Amino acid sequence: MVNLSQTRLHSRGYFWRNRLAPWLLLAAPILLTAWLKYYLIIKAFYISLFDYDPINTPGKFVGFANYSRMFSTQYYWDAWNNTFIFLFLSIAMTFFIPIIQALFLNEIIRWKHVFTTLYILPALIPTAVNVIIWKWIWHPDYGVANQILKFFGGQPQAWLSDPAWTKFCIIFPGVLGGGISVLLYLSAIQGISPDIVESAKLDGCVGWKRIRYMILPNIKFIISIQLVMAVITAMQMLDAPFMYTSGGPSGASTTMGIYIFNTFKQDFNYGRGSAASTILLLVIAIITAIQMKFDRTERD
Amino acid sequence: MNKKPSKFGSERLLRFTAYTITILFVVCMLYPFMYTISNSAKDNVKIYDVPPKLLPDPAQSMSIVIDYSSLGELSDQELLDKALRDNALAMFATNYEYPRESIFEIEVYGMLNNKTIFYSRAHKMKLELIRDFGVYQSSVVKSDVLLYGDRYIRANDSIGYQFDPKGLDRVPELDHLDDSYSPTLTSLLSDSYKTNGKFIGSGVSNHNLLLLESFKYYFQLPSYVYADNPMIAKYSFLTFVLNSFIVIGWAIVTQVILSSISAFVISRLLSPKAGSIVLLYFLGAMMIPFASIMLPQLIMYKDMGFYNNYAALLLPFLYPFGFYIYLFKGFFDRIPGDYFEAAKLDGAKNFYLYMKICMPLSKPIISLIALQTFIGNWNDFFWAWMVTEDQKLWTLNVALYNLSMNGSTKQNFILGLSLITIIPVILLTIICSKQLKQGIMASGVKG
Repeated sequence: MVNLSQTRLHSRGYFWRNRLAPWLLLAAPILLTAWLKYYLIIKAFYISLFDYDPINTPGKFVGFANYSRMFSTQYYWDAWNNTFIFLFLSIAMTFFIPIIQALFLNEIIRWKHVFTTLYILPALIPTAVNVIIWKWIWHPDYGVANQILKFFGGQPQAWLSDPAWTKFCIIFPGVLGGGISVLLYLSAIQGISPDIVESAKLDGCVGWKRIRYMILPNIKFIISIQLVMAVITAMQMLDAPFMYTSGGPSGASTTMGIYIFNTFKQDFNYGRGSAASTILLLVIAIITAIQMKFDRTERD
Repeated sequence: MNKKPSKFGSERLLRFTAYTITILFVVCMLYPFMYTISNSAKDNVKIYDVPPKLLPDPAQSMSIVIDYSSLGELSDQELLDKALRDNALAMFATNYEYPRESIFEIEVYGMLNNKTIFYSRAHKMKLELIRDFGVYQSSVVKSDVLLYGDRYIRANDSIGYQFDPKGLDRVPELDHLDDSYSPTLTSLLSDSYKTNGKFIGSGVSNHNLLLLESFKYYFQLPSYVYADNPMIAKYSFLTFVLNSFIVIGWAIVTQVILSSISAFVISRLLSPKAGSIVLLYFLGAMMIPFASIMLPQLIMYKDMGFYNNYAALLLPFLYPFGFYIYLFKGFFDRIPGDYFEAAKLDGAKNFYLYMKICMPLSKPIISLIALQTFIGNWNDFFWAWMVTEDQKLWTLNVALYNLSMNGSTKQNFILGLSLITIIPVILLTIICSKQLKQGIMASGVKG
């Protein structure tokens, strides 16, 4: 093998095949990615420096005025506030459910495949359908949520139409859990090496202790990865609040994504929308970097 | 306490809790689903009942018999015209005046000298569609409104009828039916709505299969709401299903091809260092949130004319997802080097190595990526919603959202359409559950 490559080293064909060919093959994917992703984020930053005029592009150069003007509006900070409340609610209410489901699913022997299949179902229900069903459940007059509340003697609520409740109502459907993440955790649990399982059993690590001292430490890695993903997803939340309430009532569910959408769709303020886009990217990047760093130091 | 029994007890308690919690979760998860099934089987009045009932009321079928013998000699044409007028009156009046009685089917028999000469049959949901979006859109149910112009003829054409002056072989069987509606119907049809023929009787019977027939009309809803759009008028809901599958199919094909080529180059042709830099480049692109680029993306696509057409829906998938490259790379890295060396000695080109060695071996990873792409795009909404104005381009999510935001659409129709959307997917999941699970689990081990 060594001889062969040495003889080829001197031929011109070698250069073409081994040096240039990979980059020719990669050209299309790299350029498409640059065009459809990296170029756009640079363009967002570029637009944010202008008082953007979509007809006579790019309009007047204003430097960072879009940013300073945006920072001085309450509506912008409200959007951040909403985004972080959504982030907090979704981590507090829904993130741990699939882990619990997977831990218990792992203890089940009979009917396991039936339960596993049922747990996949929520992932396959399109958001629009989920929203339609849950809007009906939250309906103040005819919905089942108020019926249950009344049954336990509570006061009926306006749910999605109430600024105090609307974020809770949008996140709550996730409490039922299920979806792909259950299976990810389950596969991580089942992937724990048999040696560890065996030695834990010999040490008398059974029942709840087994979950606490054997399983959880061994799936910590995937939990932290999923946590990073969940934070990123929650930060750019757009579809669900938009479909439930279009950002209302009175802006209570306007996340950063909806804020950006509104600035250019309603206010036609392209410059400010791009400024908000750029800041959102920065914030997500910083939070992700901090989390990654934190994970790494913890693992070391 | 003795050590052994406590160990045993702890394990048993855990198992018991596991079963209880799992069953509880599954029941909670299925509840919204059951709720949708039951609500979509109800009619648009009953779904507003408080407290909501789990089971829909039994569906009733009503037969109405109208006699034309007393009108004297009439030409066939005149007779048909009178029968058509009466049919429109009888159906819409009954449907309108008895909203709470769960009358899901109305049959109208026209009699002449003890022969059935006219027969027409309509499902409740069909009548609702005609009243909400069809011939009688936003009109009051009154005799002169129903019969105005040629409306009743168009309504009858839409409902469908049979007419034969020599007699049809259908006979109304009122004898063993419940005729409790007859007294009120007599005054309703003869006095309020003034039918041409004489109302001679009615009967109702239970017919629960009619609840299922509702779904046929739920399916037709888009063709009534967007009747101006020829594509949707013809294929109705199928248009949206097709669009979703075009987008998802395209996404799967582009992702598999682009990701696998990139991964092949990174894994086999580049040095490890260059490879990891390139991989980082692709993974970085994946981290850019959609919310951050939606505005420049919209501007750029509009400039290129990619707005309100398939190009706008499909172009965003034309770059490889970093995560898929990562999956492919992990897979290609583990293919034993012997395969490649042997082929290279035979003078094989890179393309051959890729097509004949890598791709056939990576079938499991391809199916995993297909599955992930499917799930990801099945839920994709915002971009597709933003760039499509033409209804015939709507994907399922967009169509369901827009239909549900349309004020005049009734809730049972929307819930029914939602059910029509998810039931095939659920069946597919149950059939392919084994492959699905393996696919997802495989990604977990590697990701």
